[in-house]
Amino acid sequence: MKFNLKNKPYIKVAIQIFLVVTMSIAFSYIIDESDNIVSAQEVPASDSGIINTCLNDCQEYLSSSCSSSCGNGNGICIPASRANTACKLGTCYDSVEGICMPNSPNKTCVENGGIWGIGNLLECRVGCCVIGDETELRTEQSCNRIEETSGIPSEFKPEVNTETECRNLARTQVEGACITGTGEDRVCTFGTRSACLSEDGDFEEGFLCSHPDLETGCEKQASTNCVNGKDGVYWIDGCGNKENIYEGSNLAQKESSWNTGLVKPRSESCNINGFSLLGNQGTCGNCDRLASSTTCGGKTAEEKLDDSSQDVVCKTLSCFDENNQRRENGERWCNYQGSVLPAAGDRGFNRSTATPGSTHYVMECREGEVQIYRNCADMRTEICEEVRVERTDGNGYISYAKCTPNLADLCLSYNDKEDAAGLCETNPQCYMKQLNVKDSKLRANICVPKYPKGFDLSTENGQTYAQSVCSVGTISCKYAWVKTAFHGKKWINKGCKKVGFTQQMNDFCMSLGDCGASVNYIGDLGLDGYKVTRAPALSAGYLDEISNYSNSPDSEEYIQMMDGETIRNVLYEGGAELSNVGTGDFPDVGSDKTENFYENSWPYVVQGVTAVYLSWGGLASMGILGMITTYFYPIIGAFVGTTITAWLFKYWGIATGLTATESYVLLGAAAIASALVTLSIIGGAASTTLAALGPIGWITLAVIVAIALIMRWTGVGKMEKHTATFTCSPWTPPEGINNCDKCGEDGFPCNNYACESLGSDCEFVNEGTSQEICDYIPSTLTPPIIKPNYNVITADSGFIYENETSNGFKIVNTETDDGCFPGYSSIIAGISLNERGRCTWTVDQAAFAEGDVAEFLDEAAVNLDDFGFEEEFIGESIPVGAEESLQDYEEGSENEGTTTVEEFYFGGSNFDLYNHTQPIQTPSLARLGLSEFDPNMRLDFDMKVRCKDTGGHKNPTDYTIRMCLSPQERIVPPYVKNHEPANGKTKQDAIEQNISVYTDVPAECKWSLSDKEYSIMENSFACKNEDGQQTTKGFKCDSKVPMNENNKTISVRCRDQPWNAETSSNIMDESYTFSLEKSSALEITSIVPIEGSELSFGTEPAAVTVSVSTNGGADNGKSTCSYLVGNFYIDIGDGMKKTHSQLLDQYTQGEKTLVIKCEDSVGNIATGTSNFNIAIDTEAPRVSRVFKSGSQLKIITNEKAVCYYDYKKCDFDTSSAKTMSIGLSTEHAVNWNPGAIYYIKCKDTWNNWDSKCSIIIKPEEII
Amino acid sequence: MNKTKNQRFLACSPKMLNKRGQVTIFIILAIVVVGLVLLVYSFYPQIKSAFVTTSKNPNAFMESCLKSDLETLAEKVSLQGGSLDPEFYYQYKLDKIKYLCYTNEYYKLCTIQEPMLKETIELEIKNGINNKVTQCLADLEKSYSSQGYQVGSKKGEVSIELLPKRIVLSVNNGLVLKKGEVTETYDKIGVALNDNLYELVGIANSILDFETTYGDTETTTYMNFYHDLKVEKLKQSDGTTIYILTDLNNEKKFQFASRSMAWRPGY
Repeated sequence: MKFNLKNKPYIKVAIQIFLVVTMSIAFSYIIDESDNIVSAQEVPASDSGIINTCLNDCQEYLSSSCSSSCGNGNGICIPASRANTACKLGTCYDSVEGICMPNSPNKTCVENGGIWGIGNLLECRVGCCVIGDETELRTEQSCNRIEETSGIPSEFKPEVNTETECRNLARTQVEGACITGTGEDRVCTFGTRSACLSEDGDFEEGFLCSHPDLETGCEKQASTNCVNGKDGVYWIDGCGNKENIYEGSNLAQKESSWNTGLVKPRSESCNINGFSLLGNQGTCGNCDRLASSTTCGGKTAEEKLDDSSQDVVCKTLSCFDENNQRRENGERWCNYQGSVLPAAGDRGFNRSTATPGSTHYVMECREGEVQIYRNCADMRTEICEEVRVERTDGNGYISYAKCTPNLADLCLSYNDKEDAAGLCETNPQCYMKQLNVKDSKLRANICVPKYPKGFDLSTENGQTYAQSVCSVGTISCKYAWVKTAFHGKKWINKGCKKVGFTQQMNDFCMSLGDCGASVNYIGDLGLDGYKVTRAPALSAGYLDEISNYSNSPDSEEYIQMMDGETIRNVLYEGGAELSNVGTGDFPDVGSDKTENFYENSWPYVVQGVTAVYLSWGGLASMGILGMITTYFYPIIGAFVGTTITAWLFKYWGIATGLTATESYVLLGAAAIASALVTLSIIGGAASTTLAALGPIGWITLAVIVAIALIMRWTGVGKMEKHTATFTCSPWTPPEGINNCDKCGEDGFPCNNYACESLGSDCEFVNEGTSQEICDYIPSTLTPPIIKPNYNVITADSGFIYENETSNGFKIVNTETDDGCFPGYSSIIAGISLNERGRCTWTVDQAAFAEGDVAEFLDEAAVNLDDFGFEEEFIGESIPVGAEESLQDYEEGSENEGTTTVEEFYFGGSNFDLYNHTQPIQTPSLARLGLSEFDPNMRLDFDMKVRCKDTGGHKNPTDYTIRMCLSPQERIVPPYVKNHEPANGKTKQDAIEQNISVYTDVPAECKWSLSDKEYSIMENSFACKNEDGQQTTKGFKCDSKVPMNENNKTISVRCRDQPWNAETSSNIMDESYTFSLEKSSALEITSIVPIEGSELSFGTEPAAVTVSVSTNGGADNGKSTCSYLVGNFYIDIGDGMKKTHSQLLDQYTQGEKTLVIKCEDSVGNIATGTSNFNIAIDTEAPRVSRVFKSGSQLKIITNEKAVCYYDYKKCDFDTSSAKTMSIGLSTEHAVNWNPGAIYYIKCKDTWNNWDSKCSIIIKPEEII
Repeated sequence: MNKTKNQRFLACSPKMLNKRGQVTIFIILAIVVVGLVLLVYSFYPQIKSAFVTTSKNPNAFMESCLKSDLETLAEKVSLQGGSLDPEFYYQYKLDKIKYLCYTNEYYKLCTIQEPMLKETIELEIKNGINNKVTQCLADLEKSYSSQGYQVGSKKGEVSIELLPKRIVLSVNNGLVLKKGEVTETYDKIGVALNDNLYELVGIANSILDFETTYGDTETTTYMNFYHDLKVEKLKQSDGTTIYILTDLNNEKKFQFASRSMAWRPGY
């Protein structure tokens, strides 16, 4: 059976619903897929399955995936709870090398011979290690080890434990002449005291070897040279020893430098003028990498000392960047491939300007050369931020730049939050994009990223992500014209049919990511990222403007670096709760005043009639009968007349063509005329005067009817509604051009993202090798050949593809005799191309009556109230491909509403692929407006498909995918599958409880506190029965139950086919019941460290194990707990437990307040606080008392310690020294020896000690 | 003058021509010999160790036998994060770069994978060179035996030690050489390779310390303090950071991977 849809207008509804259904399913599919955009490395929430720990890397994985992920499939997985010991993290100490590694797993450390412990081990305390004339922060053992392995004497100074102090110590290392040997072997070398002592030399502090008093024979200032480890140009004496900084070649300058043979500190030497391009480099050798970006190096023709016989000079290490701006050595700044900051778009509203293919780079000046320090991650998933600090010498600024994650997605997520505008302003990477189409009520403010991200379209997940981001920019705007009685054609939302709509929508679209029409980073336009129907395409002028965004920004255009506080606010304050934004105040086209008047005209009618009534007056003077005859009848007459007239206007459709005033006049006239006519017919007290006016009333009524007829005949009130839809899709590269070889020509590296943005035929090959190239791989010169993709069919698909021809195929149901599909059958249309390409599909246009397709699309619009727009405002349907027909659109033309070909992307994406898959859920005939009762009813549906390859070659004729629909039978009532809250518990103080039930089919449900028939149940659920709203649990119905009692039993009954009358649906004859019970309060029973406790540690940061116990609540004491850091809570992360523990290892000393918050599954919250003190003991123990006790010398220390003694010096090694303590104690003793001198050193529990002696005791002084 | 003429004549006589032939043959032989020697050396050290007997010091013998392998191993280990065959690595270009610090989660600090990095590297090199050491020792014994030495040895432990500016390989093999009345005993044979792996590992440890504490490292500091050091920090899209430490004096590198405080894509 074949239908002629032209003669069956109701079928249009069916088609429309069908498309809604299929699109919903398609989007459901996409959204479902998008759920899978989770890194393979991401650990799902603990409630998603059992967590195992991989012993190889001590990472946690789901038990199902652990064995495959752990150790490349060969690792050992054990339950996470059992991995506590092996994978517990702490500090691993290498006792040989003296190296400490924090965050190390116990097992790995111990197995490799390390010593493992929690927190900072005492052995890991660092001090300044002086090695020769260099210093470095090291542990004591590490310092000793250096001496052991290098042979250079080292000295450990525990009291110097900051990097700066330690570095300064190196600078203050005393230098001087070191004399070794005697007689002819007498040699002078210049160096540090420690180096000299290691050579057993005589150290002459502050003397140069050329000092005459030393009689070394070394000629002063024999030459100049660079010195290893120093930046400056130094005089070298005749024996090859370093002298002082070069300060010029004339006698006075040389004498100044020689400084009478004494060491002259650099600070007292000349100053090199680094900024003015080494203006005094000829006379000054005081180079300094850090201070003046200069260092000592070989001379050139231009760079030399005044003394031209010398071979070295201070050389600049600074550079000139791409803007010819001077940069200092080590300075970093951002460089962008194209525009970076938002700029004014249509109507001056800002739009984001990032160009597809562009990447951010951190540049660096290193040793005089500009180089790329870092490529920020591809697709602008990282952006380059820069901070500029004014130079103290007034010569501009110094930059520091870094790559930082792009928070673009965060900006978009704000739109779901209540305080979207506030959050958007807080985040420096976002701004509120203003949409305000002129001559329309399309207005909104939406938070978008300033630096939209690109997309990785090489993966399915990347494509889905791109699609989901760009689809936010798909916006529909309804507009209409109405023929009025006296004012010609009146437009409503006229702006939406103008190019301004398209331009503003594209501004918004390109602000979301690599979406819409935009230019790649070399300025070539790609236009397939947008489609617009019923509005003009983008103008050439507009496209020229956006082409400029590929130009390099000037030096003042850069992204300012976020400070830490802002990052914290953005990431933790802004990422918590979802809210909403948007100010769409666009009314329904049909709800203009004229139409509203007729919808709500009765109050006005009553008012008008009352006015007539009152105008007659004399109410008080009449009797009841008089009142009825004189006033009541005319009032009734006026009322009836007005009603009939209003109905007539509405029924004939002329109401929308009248203004409010015109309507008032006509209805008022009708009311008076009707009253007069009534009086003339019925008569009454006033009939003598007014009844005579009856003919006038008749004439008036006749005139009104005549006017109405004329207006109807002339088409007054005729309205034509349209929906302009801007479809925002991922940006597509230019087609059919070969610019692939331009990749990398701008001096930045060519990468996959940049290459593929240059053209749809560009492919980045040999990635990861030295042969990387952006290759041009052109498509064929013919349209792609479309074939069914049989691979999408599986054994249990329930359908097959048949009747394959070169022009199409049919999808056949294998589970029915006739191969037709009943409603809600899930099928997949899959096609394959012989080359990469993108496809669109539509329904058979001929099957629709004129204008039906447009109406269908209007109704197919899906509400996007996620973004705060009103329902009529936005559509998410994907009508595409009409822009060509609108190229010549003339404003005001009546042809603007002409139906054009409406297309959808096959599979919902505009990506160039070989295989395209479009999931479809067939609609039921009932939902299509056809009878489900006729068992022989069949409907053939044709999907018309067209594809084009990357070169833009399209197939000229439609490729048809046909399917047959049949009635759906349903004879059983719906089934309630589940309910929420599943555990039946509510919050302890709940006043009202949200409840939900899930049904197996679309249904309408009610509930009651007692079991009763569906029809008499008092409370209704709001059910989400639309296609695409089905959840994994079923179709969800929501309601609220007042919790005025502690326990309640809820009975639920439902009926299916909610679109049918109740009598035509199947109704549950048994209730689904569940209980609700208020839970007890959740309590925190203990927090460790307990309130008021004092914890002592030897080092910062201190590691404290926090323990929290809870009781009560909805889960028998189980809850999740978090602790407060700054303004946000950090989850302890061990799931629902009664006792939680967390190692907090970043405590500094002082009073601490630990705030804990725990929450159970229904939202009961308990908070608790513990105040405690962290004390850090960094002082060496002091000897507070010395005395003789019997035959022993005793000392008392101010804290527990171990004391060692030596008879010769303070600088003794405690590891081999004798102890005078028994364990840690405050009392220490040693045998009394009156002739000895006791050099005593004490170490406390935390290994605090002084490199000098704690005390030196001479017994005779005690006595 | 005549005499001179005669002499000239004699020089051109057949007798003299025969002598010239001999000279030519000798020259050809010399070229062949030189060629053979070059050939031998071109296959150095394999042919050399097989054919050339040596009276070298055992340490020198072992050094010439092991040095090339030791260099290759040290380089390979350095490019792969301290492992010869890393199991848990990031594929960066053609290199498998081992994760020395890793977390599979977002916004979390990483866990050290090799807390005793230096020791681990020493062990890796030791395992990699063990067989070669055995072979070289056998060659050493064979070489000395062929020179008339009585060779006594017992199999000892191989140890590798990373030290400042060098890698030291030691074999506690207890080698005893006896020739006539003279006996020489070598308790330990060592090979030292000039290499800065120790220093680079120290820098790597420092970077890892920052990675575990802050989730990131400011690498400029290192380059400002160590002028001959280049530290490249290459962020990858999945949150992994590849660190490449290069000694600019000799272009020797140490590469490793870390994933710490990774930001979720888009955040």
